[in-house]
Amino acid sequence: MSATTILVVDDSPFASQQIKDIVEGNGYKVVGYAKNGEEGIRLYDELKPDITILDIIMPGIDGLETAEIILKNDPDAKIMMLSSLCDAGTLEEVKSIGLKYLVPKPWEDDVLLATLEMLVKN
Amino acid sequence: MKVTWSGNGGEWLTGSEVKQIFDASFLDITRKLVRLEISRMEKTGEEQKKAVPDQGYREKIQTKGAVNTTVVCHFSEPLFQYIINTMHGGISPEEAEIPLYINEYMNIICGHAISKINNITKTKSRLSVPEFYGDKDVLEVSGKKEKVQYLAYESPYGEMRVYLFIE
Repeated sequence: MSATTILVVDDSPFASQQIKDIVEGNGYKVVGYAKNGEEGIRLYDELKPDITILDIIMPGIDGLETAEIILKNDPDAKIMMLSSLCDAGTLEEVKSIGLKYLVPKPWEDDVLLATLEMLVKN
Repeated sequence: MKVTWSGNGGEWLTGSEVKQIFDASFLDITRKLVRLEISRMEKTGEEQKKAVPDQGYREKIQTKGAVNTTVVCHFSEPLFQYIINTMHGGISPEEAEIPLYINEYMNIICGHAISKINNITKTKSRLSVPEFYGDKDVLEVSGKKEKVQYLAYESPYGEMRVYLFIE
């Protein structure tokens, strides 16, 4: 059985490396990194990952807008939002574009992994 | 007590309470992210009026929306190096990537604080992308200086000063 593939869209190399370290030790495979939303949309179309992890605060178009564009092109896309902004209003915004998961930065590894597992199952 | 920010059915916060929220965030996130205990340095009222240093390593990030504020952080060089090196696995990142590491540090701290403020006041504010200012880069702040809130920290690796300009 092949590993679940992940695309990471985050302008922070710190976050990208941390995600790679955690997920690749738990049966996932990071197949691409993007440093902004535009690059993320292009890589999504090119790589068709099983899961996309998207930061919200990024230069250029933010993560929420990026998620909307990816979902418009592929309504079945599985996306997990990641952000230091994790208030009720942000969660409502995430839900309003049809997504379920918002993981706070800095994350707990088990929360990140449990969220990925839920995405895989749904 | 002077009210600084009003809520929308939520609680009201004074500038001093906002400062406490940022303080808790700096202490907590620095501990989690770079495994460092920093502690508050109490300054007198006169020292709090000092302007942001125009040299050294600085970061600026803004909150926009119901709460408009500019947060500027000034790091002593050893503390700055400690933070970015720790976030890069214990070694110095490449020159071009240095801002990305300190940007993430500030993004997480300020995002944590503004999320708490949003939840308490039931208002909505967002964060700008953080900006890094190197040794002699010119940093301008648009907030009112009379409303500045000041936090200073010390650690085994040096000091850090935080200026919250509330608009």
